[in-house]
Amino acid sequence: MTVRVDTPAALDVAAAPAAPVTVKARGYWELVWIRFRRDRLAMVSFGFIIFLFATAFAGAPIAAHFLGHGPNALFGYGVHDFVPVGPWSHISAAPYFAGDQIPQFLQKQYGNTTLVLGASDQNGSDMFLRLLYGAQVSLEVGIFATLGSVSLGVLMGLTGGYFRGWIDTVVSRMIEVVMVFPYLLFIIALRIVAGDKLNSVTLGFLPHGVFTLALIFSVFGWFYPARIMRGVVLSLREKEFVEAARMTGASDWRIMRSHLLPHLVAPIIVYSTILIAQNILGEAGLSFLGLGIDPPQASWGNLLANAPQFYQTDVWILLFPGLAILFTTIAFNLLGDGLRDAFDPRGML
Amino acid sequence: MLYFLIRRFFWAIFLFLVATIITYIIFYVIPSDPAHIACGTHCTPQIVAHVRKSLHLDLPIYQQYWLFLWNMIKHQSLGYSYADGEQVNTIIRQDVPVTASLVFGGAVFWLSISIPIGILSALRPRSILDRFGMVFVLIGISAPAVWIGLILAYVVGFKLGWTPIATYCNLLPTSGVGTCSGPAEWAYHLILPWMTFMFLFAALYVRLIRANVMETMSEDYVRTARAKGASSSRVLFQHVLRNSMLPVVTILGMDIGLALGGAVFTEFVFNLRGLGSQLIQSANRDDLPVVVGIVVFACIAVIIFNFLVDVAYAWLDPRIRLST
Repeated sequence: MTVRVDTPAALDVAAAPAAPVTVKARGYWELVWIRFRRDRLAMVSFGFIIFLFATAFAGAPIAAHFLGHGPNALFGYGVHDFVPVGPWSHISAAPYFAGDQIPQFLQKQYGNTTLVLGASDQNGSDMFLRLLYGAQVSLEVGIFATLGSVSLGVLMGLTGGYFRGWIDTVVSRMIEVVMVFPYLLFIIALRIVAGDKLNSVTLGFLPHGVFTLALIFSVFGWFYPARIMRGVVLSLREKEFVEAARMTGASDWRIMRSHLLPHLVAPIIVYSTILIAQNILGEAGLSFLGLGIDPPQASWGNLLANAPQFYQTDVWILLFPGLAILFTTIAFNLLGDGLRDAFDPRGML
Repeated sequence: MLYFLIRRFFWAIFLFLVATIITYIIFYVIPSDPAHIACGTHCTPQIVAHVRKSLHLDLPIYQQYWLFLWNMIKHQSLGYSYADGEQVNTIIRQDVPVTASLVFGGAVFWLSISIPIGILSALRPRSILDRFGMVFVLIGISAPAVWIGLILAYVVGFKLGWTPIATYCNLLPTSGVGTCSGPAEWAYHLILPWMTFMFLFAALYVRLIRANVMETMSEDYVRTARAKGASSSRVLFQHVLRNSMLPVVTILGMDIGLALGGAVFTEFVFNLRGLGSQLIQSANRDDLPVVVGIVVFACIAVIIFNFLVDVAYAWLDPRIRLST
């Protein structure tokens, strides 16, 4: 533990010699937080991500409540001349009736207008609400896929790097194999054959199809974290503290758990942050191809899938989901960069 | 060098076996009944049984795999499509030129932009170019591939009208009314897909090249070369680039697999009839042999390409070239 003289306190000492010198020990996490706080871009990204979670999980139901319709509500009048209406449109919630004039009896029954905040898609749904609910799906896929692949990767990298020998050979050959392969094709392949069975697995709280994507991304995503962790462990295992632990009779499991794993926390957190961005992109890509989250469940990818059909007439359909994905992944990438610098003990204080 | 190449050759063969086994397991073991898929929707149990027998799906799995492998090696055949009975080889042969033009043209595009930007931003860290390059990298790694493609199609193709948005033209001149062909038309129609590739991959490469060049610049031998009085261009080209470009060659070999995956999205967005769109189309109608054929073909292409990269690497790197 480093003990440092707090700089402002030291200055105080110079100004008023009577004051007692305060020497404050700072914890590891405190130092990380101090370094992290310096990085403005990372702080903004961090704020944006918190905001995103709040809007996705708390804001979406609130917005749906005030708008009076859900993300999957279909509006016949949301599509005008085969082109979805633009953002901030007042349309009738009545079922579509031939012609633009809404009949009197329907008007009475459904009220006059309902507000569609975002542009709508070919079903006339409210893109604003679908974006909010899609954020839930994207974040869930991002986080659960990352959890899966990082835990697998840490397990593989830790055992391979620690035990060396044939275990390491197997692990590093596996990493090499997966890295070379066009794994996107395998992801598509696995999604095609196993998707129908896995899509209905919700574990009680996940939206339809999220489990499949999280599982598939984990299966093909573990190799990169494994490679990083293996590299770190390979250099750590030769350190004196591991030798000391072994000398005192610590078991392999104990050394891995209490002596090596704490050193992996920093790379795990940094890499996970960046991997979340990758997995959000993966969801978007697969759903765009129609192989990810199936409608009517809203996701950023399947919102984007409407774009090729309409972008020439209604560019909002292209812009909104794309920008949502772009801002989110940029935020996670910047946060990852900021965390990497913050965890680096050589960083200036 | 010979020892290195022999080892890599056996590694390539091993990779081929692993690839085919994984593909086989994914497609013929995981789904409940391939025979049912092959037969289609209107099928009596008798016909399903017959189909199962004729496709050898009643044999044990290892025998099935062996047959699959044997057909591929002995007859170079990847089987027949369930949908229309066409040879998978024929289908792939039709689609390969599109994907190959896309991937290799894209590679030329992304390398020709990322090498200069990467080197310049490494030589002048924190300059305007470097900062601009870093923003470009951030957007490139953060934006969805399809979105970049669609934005390019919207801005360049639709609003500005500079390039065509979709369709593919043959590289070699072919006769026929209403078809476009020839190198000029080919390149003109592929500009947008190539630019999409450029955005996606240039980001990774700029970052990689920048990091490599910066690392090499701080090596002792660079300082020695400077101390000897070598001109800065000589230091850059003779000492720095030769060493910092070696890893780029390796990564390029690995990324061909990634690029084949990226081709799926690009073809989908720009409506090109290549392997990627064929894969999605066949997948949507449960045409397993075509999907398997494309995946296996892609794996073989990646393995061969990686082997070639290894050869190039062995020749470029004197540590391997001169070793026995």
